[in-house]
This record gives sequence, structure tokens and C-alpha cells, in this order.
Amino acid sequence: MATYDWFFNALGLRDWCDAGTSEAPMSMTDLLAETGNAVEEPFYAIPFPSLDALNEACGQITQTRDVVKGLEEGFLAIRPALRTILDPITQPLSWMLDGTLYLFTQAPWFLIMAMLLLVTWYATRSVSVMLFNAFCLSFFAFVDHFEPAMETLAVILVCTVISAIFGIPIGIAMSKSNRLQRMVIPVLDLLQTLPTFVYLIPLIFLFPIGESRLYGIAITLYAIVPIIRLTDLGIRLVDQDVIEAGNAFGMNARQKLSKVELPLALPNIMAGLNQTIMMSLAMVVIASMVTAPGLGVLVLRGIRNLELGVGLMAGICIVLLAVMLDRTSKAALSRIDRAKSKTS
Amino acid sequence: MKFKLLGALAVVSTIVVGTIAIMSPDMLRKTATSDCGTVSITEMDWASSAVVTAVSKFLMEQGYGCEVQVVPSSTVPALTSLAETGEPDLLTEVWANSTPAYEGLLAEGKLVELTSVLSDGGVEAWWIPAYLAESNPELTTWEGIMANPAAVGGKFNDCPSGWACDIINNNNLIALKAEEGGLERFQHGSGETLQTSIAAAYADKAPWFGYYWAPTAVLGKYPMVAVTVGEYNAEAHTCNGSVDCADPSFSAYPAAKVVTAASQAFVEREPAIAELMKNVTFTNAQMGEVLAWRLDNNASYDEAAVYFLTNNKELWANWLNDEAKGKLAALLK
Amino acid sequence: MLENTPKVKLRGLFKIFGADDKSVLPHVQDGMGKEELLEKHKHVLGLQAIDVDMQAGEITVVMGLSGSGKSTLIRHLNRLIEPTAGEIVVDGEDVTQLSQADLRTLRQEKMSMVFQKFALLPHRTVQQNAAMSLEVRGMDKETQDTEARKWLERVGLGGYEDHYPSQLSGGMQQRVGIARALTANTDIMLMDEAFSALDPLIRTDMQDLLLELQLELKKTIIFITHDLDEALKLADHLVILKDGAVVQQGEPQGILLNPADPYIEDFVSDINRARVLRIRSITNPLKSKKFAGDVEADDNLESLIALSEGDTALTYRVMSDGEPIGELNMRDLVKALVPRISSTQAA
Repeated sequence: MATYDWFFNALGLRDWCDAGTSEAPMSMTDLLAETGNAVEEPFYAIPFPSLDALNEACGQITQTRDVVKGLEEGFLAIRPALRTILDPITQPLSWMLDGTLYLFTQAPWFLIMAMLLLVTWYATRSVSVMLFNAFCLSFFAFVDHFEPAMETLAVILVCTVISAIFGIPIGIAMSKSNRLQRMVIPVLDLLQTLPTFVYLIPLIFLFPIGESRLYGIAITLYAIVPIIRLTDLGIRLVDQDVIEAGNAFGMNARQKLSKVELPLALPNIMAGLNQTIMMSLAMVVIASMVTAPGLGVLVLRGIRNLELGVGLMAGICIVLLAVMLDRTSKAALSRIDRAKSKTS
Repeated sequence: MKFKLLGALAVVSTIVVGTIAIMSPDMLRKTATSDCGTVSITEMDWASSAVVTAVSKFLMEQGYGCEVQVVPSSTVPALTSLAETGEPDLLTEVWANSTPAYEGLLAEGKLVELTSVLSDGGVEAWWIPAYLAESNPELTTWEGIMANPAAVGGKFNDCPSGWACDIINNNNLIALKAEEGGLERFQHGSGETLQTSIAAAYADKAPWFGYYWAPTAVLGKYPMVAVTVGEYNAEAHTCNGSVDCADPSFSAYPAAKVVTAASQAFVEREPAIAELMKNVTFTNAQMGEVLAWRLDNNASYDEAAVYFLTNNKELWANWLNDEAKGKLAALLK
Repeated sequence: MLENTPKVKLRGLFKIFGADDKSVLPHVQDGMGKEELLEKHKHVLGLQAIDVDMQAGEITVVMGLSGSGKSTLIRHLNRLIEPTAGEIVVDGEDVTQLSQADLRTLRQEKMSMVFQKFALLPHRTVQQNAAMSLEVRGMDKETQDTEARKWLERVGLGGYEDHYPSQLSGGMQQRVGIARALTANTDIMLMDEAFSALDPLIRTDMQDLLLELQLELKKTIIFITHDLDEALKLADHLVILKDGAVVQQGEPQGILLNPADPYIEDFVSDINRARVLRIRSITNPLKSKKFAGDVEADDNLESLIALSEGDTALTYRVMSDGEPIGELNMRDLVKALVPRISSTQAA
């Protein structure tokens, strides 16, 4: 006697319902009922008219598990089509990751260190940041974590670059169209909250597990969100008076974008880039679960073996990496932001 | 004015619902238990263990009147917790061979081994898919694979870093000179990707070669054939279990001892339950059947337990003491 | 250039703010007022039936209080705001009909603008800001540099070329704004309350600068303000707006002496008439033979009062460019000092 029998009886669907059998496996509550020790359900425990509850009353209604199974089968069905579309698009990502990893791990340590410090100097022109970076890099090398740290750094850099290349144009497009913004924002929310494994495991069906693009996609999809949001925000927040002046002097859309909007939105865009880097680092451990090399592997090992020290040390290295990148990007930002730095 | 009314309504309804919840039958039942108190039991994050836990929970609650608390966990944290704090009370499906810490804790008396819950012992081996074994029978031997590594995909799918099998497989592969022979060792980042790679290979009928264990849902759903490499050698296997093994030589996996463990304190506190858990064992065939059924019917762990319980009444009836048999008489008819 | 062909002609210009402006237009054309439109149709009436001619080489000042529609009006001239109906004819072509590309050309080559809040690019130097119009047009770097420097020099900012706007005071920033508009070398300059954000002393300096430049350049300037004194000082042609409609337009002195309705009377009631009114505005034709002295037509009444030492019996001869053009009796002058009240309130 199911809760919602009355509904289907009232609609006169009893015969149609019984034609479909309810093939559900016996549930625990049913078993408990058989033991005679069944728990008295309180009077108010009426089940919500969910698919399963309705199925008990009417066998024609599919159960939730069948819907779930349907999703799975649907995915497997469109797999070949998805593969043909996604494979060429994501192949460059694999190349970039593999290439950068190769470079960072094969080159001798002094070369890499020199190159990184040079880049730091060029970007920030700040002695204190450069010294700090030198200290961090030396620390990694000193505790024999240099190679994993460089692997993580390589992955982060590639993913950040990809995020910027795709994220900034999307952000610009969003800032120009309210409708696009309304459509994209839920997607961004989804990317940040959907558990990574939910979309990663299906991806393994599309690309072989050894491919670096798997974790590349995982990190990029998560980390691209801040830069999109902040580019959109930054451009929308540009002083409308200056835009009006641009219009009044006959600028076209491209000129406005390059001469007015992007330079004035730059502080926000750089903040977005900074956040993208931080989010990439946050994903390091999950990426390692999908076979990304680097410090995440050490953290996982520490967790699985309860080698607290291993996990902690790798964790400290990740934090130092984060601080390094954070300070470097912030120093680069304040140097680019000339207008602010020259305020009298 | 309107908001004050709403606010008052919210407070009152919270109080009402809270009272009802507190007075729910669960709570009422608790005050009516007989001899058994609260028992905490682990639910590990793989299918066979979850089934064991669900079945045990049912028997303990319905037969012995215990208040059972299920603790989701995994091997190493559960072992450490039991050794250091004495909780949780019952550890299900500890794969003793794969857990270096286990023997030490057993020797120290920090835990008690109740029984081998998988009576046949778990199977750990290196596998290729059944379709591959059918089309290329030579690949069921190591020599066959070495002759043509590309036929199995050119790589060995290995356990994630931190699992015992990671160290063992690595040493075995070194001993077999797999790398020089053209077989790359690919280490998965997590158990999930390892098992998904099998599923993905099956979907494409692609070649696959690597480590896995039974009884599991994956091996139940996707027929695999074990590759014959060599015999079990106790000495070699022990050495392989350590990272510092100087000169590894190959050893196949022994039948894995899979046990239910408990603390000494628990055994003294609840002797009846300890007796019950000593009896709760499954053959690989029985467990495999349940797992396969679960996959085919998209059932939950609870439903799988129900399936087992309804179809094996004589079996588990023998696990119970007389008092419990009496309580479950209605079911056992 | 014929006096009769205005540089900018506005005919029947209407602007309604709202989603369905075109459909509620007929109501406004039939005479619906601002409040009624807002209440019944939820649309805001910005401009109604604007007919204004702006002559070349003159400063046309559009004046009004907040909400009168003056900012809206000036933004119609370069179509920063799209009209609901009407014609905007600049040098014979209707701006409302221009394509986007032609509109941009118009903005680049025919019209430049100066803004109340300066609207300079904060990330560019003063010189780069001044050269902005030339940069937009794609001129070579050298021309940009020379022109920008020239005009910056002209507005008194020589030496500040490499500063950034944030380093300059308000008055100096607006000079950059003016230099920017001048560098564009357009015939028409739109100035949207350009001096309203400056303090009074600077404001006077800027007004003097503008008049000085105008003597030399003879641009067609359309100037928006809410300050009557400023309007009277700068205007060759004065347009007074209220609630989106033109209340009175004409020569400033004429408006002062003959306000068209109580609103204008109220408006002009507070000004210092002695200082603002010019002698030529109240000059009468030559009649007498004997005069107490000669005065310049463009002098204000205040100076004549001082000269006459308050004796109302005197008559002076009015000279312009050395030629006598009329005479002025002190009694007439004193009468002119009192604002004219409308006929409903008898004098």
C-alpha cells in the first residue's frame, strides 16, 4: 500500500500503472518491516512525491536509478561525437603541458633558477621580491623538493596562461552584453562548485588517462573563473565619463577597448590573474589525483600513508610557491599600474 | 508588525519540529535496548566493505539490539585511529598484506583479529581484459607480453602513491626488467582513475594491462584474466613490500588475508557481538554475486545487503546466537 | 559666409527617455507635460520642440537649472544621445541620418568636446591626452606631438607635458581638456559645464582664457552652464531652457531688458544689472547737441554711473570704434537698473 496510490486511483490510471512492473530491489525499510521489529513511522512522515515514491504506487513511473542510468548511457552514446570535437581542441593543452614540464624538469637547476629570477626582475623591478623568490627556490632545492616544485610550477604557469588567453576575451565579451553575462555567470558558478571528479571521470572515457590534458582541463576550468569575473567587472567599472570622452572624440569600439577600457580595467584584471594563480595552486592536490606530477603527489602520499611529515613538508612548499607567485604578480601589478603609483 | 509575526512563527515551528525530532522513534528505541550498547563500525570506501558493513549493521541492530554507528573511513586512518584511541570498535575488510602497519599493531596487542571476512582471501593480481585474452592468448603470460608490449598498450597501470601495492609492483617490475623490455610503468593518481581506466578501455575494447584486486565491482562487471607471471615466494614478497628492497626478485601475490579487526577492549565489552563478527564471512563467489547484482540493478549498498539477507537466510542464521535468532524469527521463516 | 546659414540648426528636436519613446511621442506633440507623461506613461520628457540656430564663429550658451535638459541637448549635437524626433543639421547635413562610421568621422573632424569632470585618461600623460583626437584619427606621431605641445603652450601648460592628470589641479586639468579640444582642430567645440567644477577665481581665469582664444580662433562654441553670470559674460547668443523647452533665446542683453515670462524675470532678478548691462543695449538715437562726455558702447553701466557721479541730469554721447552711434540720458540708465516686471503686476 504505497503512499500515493490514492493519486493514481483517483486519476483512473490504476490499470495502466499495474501494467508496468515495479522491479525495484527490496529496500531496507521493507526488510525491517518483515522482521516485525519495524520502526513506527511517525504520522507526519509522508514521503515527498519523488520518482521512487511514485514508482511504488505506479509501476510505469521510472525510478530515480533509471534516470541516473539513462544519464550514464546518454553520455556513452555521445562519446564518439564528443571525442571528435574535444580532441583537437584540447591537444595543444597537452603539448604545452608536456613541453613545459620537460623544460622545467630537464634543465639544470641553476639555469631554471636564473631564468625565474630574471623573469621576476623584469616583471617587478623589485629587489625584495627577487630575494624572496631566490630564498624560496633555494629552500625547495635544499629539502630535495626542487623537482616536484618545478613540476607544479610548470603546470600552474601553463594553466594560468591558458586561463588568461581564454578568460580575458570572454570577460570582455561579457562586459559588452548583459545577456551574455546572464548566461555565463551560472556556468561560472557551476565550474567553481561542481566537484571536480564529477566531470573528470567521464573525461577519462574520452581521453586516455596518461594524457596531461586531463589535469590541465581540471585546473583550467576551476582557475579560469576569477579572471573572467574580474575582467567583466573591471571593464564595467571603468569611469563612464572617460568612455563618453572617447565616444565624443570619435573612437570606434576597438580603439575604446585598447586605449581606454583595458588600461583602466587593468588593476581588476591583474587581481583576477592573481586569483587565478591562487586557485590553480588550490587545485594541485586534486590534479594529482588525476595523475598530475608535482607537490600534490607528495601530499597525497603523505595522506594515504599517514606520513604526516611528508604531507606537511609538501604542503609548506605549496604555500611558499603560492606566496612567491602572489607577491610577484602583485609587484608586477603595481608597476603596471602607473597612474596609481604616480599619485602625488 | 508582519515581520514580528513571521519571526515568532519561525521560532515556534523550530521548537515544535525540534521536539518531535528529539522524541523520534530512534531516540525512543534507544532507551529500550537490552544488553548491547553503542557499536561503531567502519565503512570503507570500496563496495565489498560497504556491503559487509551494511549486513553487519542490520544483524547487530535487529538481532542484538545495538545502536550502530557507521564511520566512513579508509584503511590507514582507521587502523591508526583504532590503535591510538581504541575507536572505532570494528574495522571491516582490512587487507592485511597491503597494510604494512597491520602486523605490527597485531603483535603489540593493540588490536584483535576476529576473522577472515573474505574467507577465500582477496585476489591481487595483474590482469588483462577478457576480450584481449581471447584475441591474443599469448598475452596471458609474461613472456607473451614482453614479446609484444604494444599489444597490451605499452604500459602497466599501477596503484597510486601511498598504497602498499605501489611499492610491491614497482619492485616486481624492476625485478622483471619491464622498463627495458618496453613496458612503461604508469602510476595513477587515485584509485578512481585506475578503475575508470579499466572501464574506459572496456568501452573502447582497447588494450589494458595493470594491477587490480577482487572482489570488487570493477572486476565483477568487466571480466578480466589474470596474467601468469610466476609463483608466490614469501621471502621475495616481504622484501618487495619495502621501498629499500636492495635486489628485488619477482613474487606473485599471495591470497590476501582480509580480516575484521577490533580492539581488545571491545571484545571484552561486547563478547556477543565479537562472536557474531567472528562468524560473518563471505566467500569470493558470494560476495562477487552480490556485487554483480548490485551493479546490474543500480542498487545502493543497503539494497545489496537486503539482497544478500533475503537470499541467504540459512547462511546467516548460523552466525547468530539463539537470542538473536529469536528476535529475527519473523524474517527467518 | 552668409549670416543667414547657421552652422548648427536644431529643428523640432524631441527627446523622451524610456523604452517606447517613439510611441508616446504623439502625446507630447499634442501638448502633454512632463509630470503627466511620467505618471501616465512612465517616460521622462527630456527635450520638447527645440528650435535653435547656432551661428558660426559665435559662442551659443544654453542655460538652465538642473533637469532643464541642457546636458541632454548638447549631447544630441554629436549624437551621444539619440533623439526621439527632429533634425540636427550641421553644415547642411542631418546628423541624425549619419551612419556609425560617418558619425565617428563627424566626431573626429567636426566636433570636439570639453567635459565638466575633465574626463582625461588617467594612464596617459598630459601631452598624450591633448593629442588624443589626432591619435584616434591615426595621424603620425610627429604631428601629434607638435600640435599637442602648441596648444598646451597656448593654454598656459607649457612644461607640464609629461605630467599625469592626477598630478595636476582641477583648473590645470580642465586646461588640458581645452587643449585636447583645441588640438582636435574642429570648427565646433561643445563645452558641457566646463567650468562648473572649478573654484570661482579659477573659473574667471578660464572664462577669460576662452574669450581670448575665441577672439583669435572664432570657433563655433556651444557652452552649457547653470550660472547666469557666466552665461552673460560668454554668450553671443543665449538660450534659456526650462523643463526641456526653450523659454527664451536671443542676445543676452536683450533677454535681460525684455524677459519673456515670469520665469526669466525671476532668473535675471538677482544679477548686478549695473555691471552686466552694456551701454549699447540702452543707447537711444542721437538727438541732443550738447553732451557731458563720450562713453564707449561696450562699457557697462557701472562705469558710467561712476563717471557721472550719480547726476541723473546728464546726457552722454555713445561711441563705437571712434564713431558716435547714439546717446544715453542718465535717467534712462537708472530706469534700466530696475528689472522689468511683467505686465500683470503693474509698475
